[in-house]
Amino acid sequence: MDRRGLFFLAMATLCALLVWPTPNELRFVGWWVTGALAALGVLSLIDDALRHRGHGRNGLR
Amino acid sequence: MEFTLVVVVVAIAIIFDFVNGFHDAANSIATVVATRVLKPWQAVLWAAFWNFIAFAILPLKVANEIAKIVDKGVVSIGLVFAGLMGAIFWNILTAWFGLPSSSSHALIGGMVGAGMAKAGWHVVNGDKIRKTAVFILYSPMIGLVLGFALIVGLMWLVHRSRKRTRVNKSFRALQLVSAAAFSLGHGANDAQKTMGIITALLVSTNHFSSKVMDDAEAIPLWVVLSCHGAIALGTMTGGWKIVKTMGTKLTKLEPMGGVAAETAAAATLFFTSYKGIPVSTTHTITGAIVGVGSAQRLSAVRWNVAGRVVWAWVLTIPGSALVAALTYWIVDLLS
Repeated sequence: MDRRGLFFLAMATLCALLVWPTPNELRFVGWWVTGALAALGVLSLIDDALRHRGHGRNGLR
Repeated sequence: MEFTLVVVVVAIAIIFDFVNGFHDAANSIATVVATRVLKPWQAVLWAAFWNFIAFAILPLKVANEIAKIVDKGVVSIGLVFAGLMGAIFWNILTAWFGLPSSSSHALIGGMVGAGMAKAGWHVVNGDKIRKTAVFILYSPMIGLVLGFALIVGLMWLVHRSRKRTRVNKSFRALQLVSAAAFSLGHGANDAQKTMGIITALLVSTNHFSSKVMDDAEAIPLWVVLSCHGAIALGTMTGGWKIVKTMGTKLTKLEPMGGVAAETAAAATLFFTSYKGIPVSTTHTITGAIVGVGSAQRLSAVRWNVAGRVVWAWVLTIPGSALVAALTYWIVDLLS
């Protein structure tokens, strides 16, 4: 389980929820942070999955 | 009599600013001292200089935002006194329990609590509170994303270098720049909060014209200089003893990590100061340090410390507002 990826995705969800009460002129900050955290979360999950596949192969050798 | 009370409350506000500098000094200098780039006394002088000079570089928009948190028609000496007392009492209480609370949010909570106690919820400027409240989460998250991106970029740049000592030496020197940038952002955002409170008080007592509330550049120089001077003096005094702080408590930082975290936090503080958004410098650097630490591995971050920080985020504004409201009612009863 990639805790880092899940942490980033949870924070992205929180930031996305906060976009609604954010004043209009600053909403771009909310979208930007949400997008960046979501991207980091997805990349981290992919990285973790690839590492586990690597470990699996090593184990079979 | 009124003039004496105004002087006393302004003095309390400036002492609050001094304590803010004292409390936050370590955020700016912990990494430069820990990596022995500077001796503690050199580091505090360096940070204090940039704290002080910030007024000449960054706009005073945060001061205006703070001054307008409570409707200027209800601001009085008693209200500002209660707001400051709420913030001071909350800071002492959280320090007692070891919670890393934000002086900035305590001050905002104090003003809101005292304003509500005096005239109800409608005198509180909802837009300003909303802006401050959402940035309680946004500012550390911006710091986190920037810190993560910077450390990944830097690691990618130096990963082929075999001359590890030369790389470390370069980053030790760069820490001087990143610590200066962070101190500049700290001085700008934090000194302006006290400046805003003093401005609101002096406008309400007719010592300043009300146009000061709308034009940041109209704030008299003596207010600007006393607030920046107080925070710089606080930094000089606090830094002497406080070295072991967020930089070492949350995660261990190497010179490269220190540069990434301080630069990310400084960029966040510059942006928020430019936009007139009051944020906590402690939360911002905490987010940046977590970003740098989690780029290496998530276990590098001490999550129990981070969890205590989150509790302090949630509780500070309502807690200080409650204390300020109680103080206001007591002051009102006595007078």
